Amino acid sequence: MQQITRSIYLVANGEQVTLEIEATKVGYFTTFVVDGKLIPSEPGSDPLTHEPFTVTIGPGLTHFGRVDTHFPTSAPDDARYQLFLTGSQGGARFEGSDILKTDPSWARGLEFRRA
Amino acid sequence: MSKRNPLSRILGLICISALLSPGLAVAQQTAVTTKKLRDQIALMEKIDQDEGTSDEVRALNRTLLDERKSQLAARLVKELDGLKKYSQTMEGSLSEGETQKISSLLEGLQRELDGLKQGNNSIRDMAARTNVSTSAPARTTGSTASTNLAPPANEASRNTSNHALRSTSNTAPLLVAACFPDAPDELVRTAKTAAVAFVDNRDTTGLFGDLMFFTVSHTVAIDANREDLLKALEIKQLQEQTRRTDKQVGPPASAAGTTTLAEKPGFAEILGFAIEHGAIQKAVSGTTLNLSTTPYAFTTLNGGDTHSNYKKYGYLTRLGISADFNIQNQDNPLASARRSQLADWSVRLRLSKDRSTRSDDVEAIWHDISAEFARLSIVITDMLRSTFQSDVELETQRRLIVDRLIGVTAQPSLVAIRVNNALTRDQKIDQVAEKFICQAKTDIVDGVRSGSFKISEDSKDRIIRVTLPAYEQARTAKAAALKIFDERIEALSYKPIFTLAYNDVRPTSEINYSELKMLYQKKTGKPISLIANAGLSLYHKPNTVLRQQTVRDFAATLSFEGTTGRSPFMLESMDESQITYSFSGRYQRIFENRFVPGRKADIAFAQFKFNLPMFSGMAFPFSVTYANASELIKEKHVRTNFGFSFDTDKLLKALALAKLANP
Repeated sequence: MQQITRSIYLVANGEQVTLEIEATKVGYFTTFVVDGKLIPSEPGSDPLTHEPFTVTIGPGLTHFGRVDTHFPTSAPDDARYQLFLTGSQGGARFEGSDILKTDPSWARGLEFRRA
Repeated sequence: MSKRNPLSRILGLICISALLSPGLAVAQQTAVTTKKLRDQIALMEKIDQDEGTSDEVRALNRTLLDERKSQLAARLVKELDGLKKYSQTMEGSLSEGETQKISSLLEGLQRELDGLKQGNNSIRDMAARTNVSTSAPARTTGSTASTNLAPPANEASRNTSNHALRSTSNTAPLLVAACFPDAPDELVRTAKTAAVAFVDNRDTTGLFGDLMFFTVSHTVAIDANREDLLKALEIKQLQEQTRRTDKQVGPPASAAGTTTLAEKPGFAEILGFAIEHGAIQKAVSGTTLNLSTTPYAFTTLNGGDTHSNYKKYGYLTRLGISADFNIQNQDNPLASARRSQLADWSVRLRLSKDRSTRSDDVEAIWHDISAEFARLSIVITDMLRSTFQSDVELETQRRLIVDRLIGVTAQPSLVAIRVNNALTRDQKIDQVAEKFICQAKTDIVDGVRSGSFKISEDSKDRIIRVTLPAYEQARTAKAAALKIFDERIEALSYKPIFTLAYNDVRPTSEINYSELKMLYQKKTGKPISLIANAGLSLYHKPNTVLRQQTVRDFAATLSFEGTTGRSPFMLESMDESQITYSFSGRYQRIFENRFVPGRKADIAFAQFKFNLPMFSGMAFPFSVTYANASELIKEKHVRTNFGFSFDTDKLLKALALAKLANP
């Protein structure tokens, strides 16, 4: 997997992509969806680790992901979520986008593109 | 060709330079009032009509004049919309004179808009779409170039309802992009989030998927004359926003939380470091310095207060340690944090389980509702999948659009906005957001309508039949899930909290003693908490001459505490200080007093207290206390205390926040 931007990645056919989320000053109130399907997280994982999904699209196409989060009222204003992404066919553990309580929107999209 | 007059040319260029200067450029985007826009237009028209203006200056001036007119027209359209809605809403509640006044205002605005329309097609189109003019509607949308050929009647109706909805919404974003005045709120909010990220030098690209979804869905629905679907969405959005009025938008607290202390080497320096990093809380009240901490706070100094850290060391939050020092030097309270100045110290151990929002209980609640919460993401990503995942050519175009949006962030003009110290943070965000909105308008709205970004008819049909109704349902489901989440968290806060407390008291004129207490706290009603505690005080070294025993006294307290909401005196918008009040009763039996004449062993107190915040860091506390005796004198008394209290830390934080908000 290669990182184009913090939210756009180049992936290979059959590659398994894993999303991890680290929460600061807030609990794990997050969900991860790819192409209309909810990707469950591994119970008790820390940082919160979602089950890997497999790249199945053809060349030139994209898997569309979306992370939606929530901040309870009592969470401080500097509470945040940080995303990390890893591909099974190499690259690195990439630092993805971050989501702050002060952001107007608490969701972020992810693109997994086939070259 | 006009005669070239060097003076006029210079004057014209000076005027145009002034209009293009950073300060005014800011204003033109966000802060310029309608009056200023009118003034600028009048000046530009004067330059245009001046015979001495050179052709090149006139051409540039006209371009800018058209832009200003478009901006003014967008504002007039919005004002007309709002006024018409107001008039409709208040119908029957207004006097004849008031109705006449509104009618005159409407006519005046309409006349001004008609005047702007002269010779400006984009404004004519804008007015036609908003249905505020009797003139024939035209065919394009917005001020950006468009080759849309949709039937005029369709065009006229398809932008009206949504715009009207925005105008009636008191929670609608303030930003109205001149290039796309009818942009749906979701698109504006997404663009603003991307703008916040850009201004903060963070990733913007995570927002472009939502930007694509909202722009395509909106365009397809409008073009299919299905504004009813958008209307339903807007209503859901308003409901959600209204429910979340508690959300604060502002700069990160991390940036504002530093304290500036006159530090002293040694222990005070270490304390200062811990305070600066939040490991120790400091409060100064009168002549007392209070320092408090929990061992957990020190585990966050290296890796931060992450959820992982909380999972590992969260149990340490059970323990709290606090110390009070008599302040010697008011200018440097921390210098008093030494043993000789120690007035008392205490340790508290929470016996009940963690019920914070990071507790296992709250995680379990989230687990129950997360599937419903995720439905919105399911709808959005499923629409993107079904639209773009089966058509390589269309997907290539989508990627190009995303690449162009990324390209926007590399434009020198945008980078200049980020580093422009003359702009406030909000101005920067609005200007950058407008760029994203305009890019989405040009590439997606105009592209879909011209066919250059060709969404298939099947996809359009699916967006209308499946995506938008599902989106509405998902929004409802998400709001309901969050309501359940909040209610169940609220229910947790009603469970009692038990704490064991140990206080080491060091009175200046008496013998040291210790207090061992069991504290009980339970919320009994929405704004009221019941607090009860009971405990024993023990002498370290009882003095038998004074008839002291190991047990000094027994005391029990019952108190009801509540809040009545935000103080009306708090003009500082970011300060949420509440008015608090309490009723307390206390019984104390001091055993040694049984043998001392003039003293009473059984002492009862009753107290009413309230605290009214006046400004940030300043409050007016008031209390009335009745006691049948004091510890030292057997005498009934009623005591009233009032005054002003200052919390310098809070004051400094408020000033820092205000500075960050308005640099």
